[in-house]
Amino acid sequence: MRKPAGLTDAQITQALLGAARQREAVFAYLYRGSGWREWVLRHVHQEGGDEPAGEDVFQETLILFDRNIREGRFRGGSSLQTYFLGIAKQYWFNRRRNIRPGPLPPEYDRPDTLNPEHITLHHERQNMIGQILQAMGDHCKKVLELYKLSLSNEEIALELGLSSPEMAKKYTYRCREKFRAFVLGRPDILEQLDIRPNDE
Amino acid sequence: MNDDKHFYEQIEDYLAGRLPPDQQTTMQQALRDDPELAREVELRRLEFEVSEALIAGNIRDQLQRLRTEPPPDAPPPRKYHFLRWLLAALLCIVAIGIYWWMARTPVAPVRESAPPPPGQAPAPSPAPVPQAHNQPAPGTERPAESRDAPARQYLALAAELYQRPDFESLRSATTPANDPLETALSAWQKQDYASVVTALQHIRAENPNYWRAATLRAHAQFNLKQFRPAAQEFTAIADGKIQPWAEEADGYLLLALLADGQTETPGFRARLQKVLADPGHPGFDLAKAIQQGLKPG
Repeated sequence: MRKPAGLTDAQITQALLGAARQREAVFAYLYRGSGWREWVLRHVHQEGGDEPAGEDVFQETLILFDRNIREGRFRGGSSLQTYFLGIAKQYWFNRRRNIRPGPLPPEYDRPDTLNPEHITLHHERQNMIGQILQAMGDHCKKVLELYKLSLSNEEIALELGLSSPEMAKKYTYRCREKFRAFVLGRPDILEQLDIRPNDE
Repeated sequence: MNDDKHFYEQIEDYLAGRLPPDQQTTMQQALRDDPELAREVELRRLEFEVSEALIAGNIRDQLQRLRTEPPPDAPPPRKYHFLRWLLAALLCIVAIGIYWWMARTPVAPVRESAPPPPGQAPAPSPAPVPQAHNQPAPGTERPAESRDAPARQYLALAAELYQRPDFESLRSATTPANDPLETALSAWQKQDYASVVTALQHIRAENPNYWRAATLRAHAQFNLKQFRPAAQEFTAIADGKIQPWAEEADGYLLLALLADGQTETPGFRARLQKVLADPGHPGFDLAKAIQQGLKPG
């Protein structure tokens, strides 16, 4: 698929798997130049949502879409646009059910993942992640993010302005160890994760 | 080491659902039987979630900016057109006024400066623009003989602990060769530190490469043994809180202060304590080495 003056699916995928600058550029394109956002806003409006709700659906869809592409969950069974809009519809469906519980059309007959117990566990997990993030410091947060984006040591060094890939490797190791030490030093988190510290 | 790597790769593949079905089943069985493996998997799963939360946060921040910023090629709003014309007209009037006033004002004749009367010192000439703050130039520093013993020791310790970055990763394929940062990097490779300082002296805070340039300049000053201006520059970078420059600068600031003999200042002590309080800080090992080196005996 190619839109006039737009990016192909291959270019979008490549940018999402690329370095921070490429990712930022493709997010700006998806927001401003792809037409996907307008479609999401229209869909949410037709389904009874207002513009802020539409913006929120677009944003959260973009986050899920990006992660799925990076983790190889998209198998290429459709165009990226169709895939993106499918995620947006599903997200809005889940959110609408949460906002306005009640009977839903038959096409929305999908497994229930938003029961109260699930929501509570989700909130507890988010709270725990928030505590860990607070403890990590800005530098390590950036390192963990770049590592998760599967950037090479060369790319991480370039992003962080480090002198060599070896330095990037060292920083990544330190930050991951910092994360590990923090979690293993918090019995409440270990209990939530249902794991025990190493007895060695 | 390779076994470890394979082990962690398997965990990552398992968490991402990338293992073939038979290996997925084997892993699930292993998780039930092996508490240590289960613990590693849960830690790795949590690390992934934390990292994904950061990635999501960045996307949200970027979209927030895109919502508030006008598109780059958008024409300015119509309501400002009138103001722009008004401003241009006012500037024209002011420029004409200045020209008219200057044309009317007679130019005062320039007088030759007379020699000072006997016994009086000549008037000071205008101060030259300092090249690098107020530190004496290389070669005009106090001779080593006049330093006291602890100062010499601190200087030696700083020189021993200082690791010269190669800064090769700061180069960009798209930057023109005459860019000040590129010029400075070439000078840095040749160890021509004075040229580094000169090339970067006009880099301003608005420049997107400002923090890189400031870091490079601070290192050049350090290598020129201009420790005080280097310390001032590293302080500004560290207090700028732009990562990773800020945390990197903390360690080098300690070295610059150490080399400058400022180990008794509150600034040095506070910075040392700050770095030592954070084992994940990139300057942590360096701070520990400094602390060790400062111990008497």
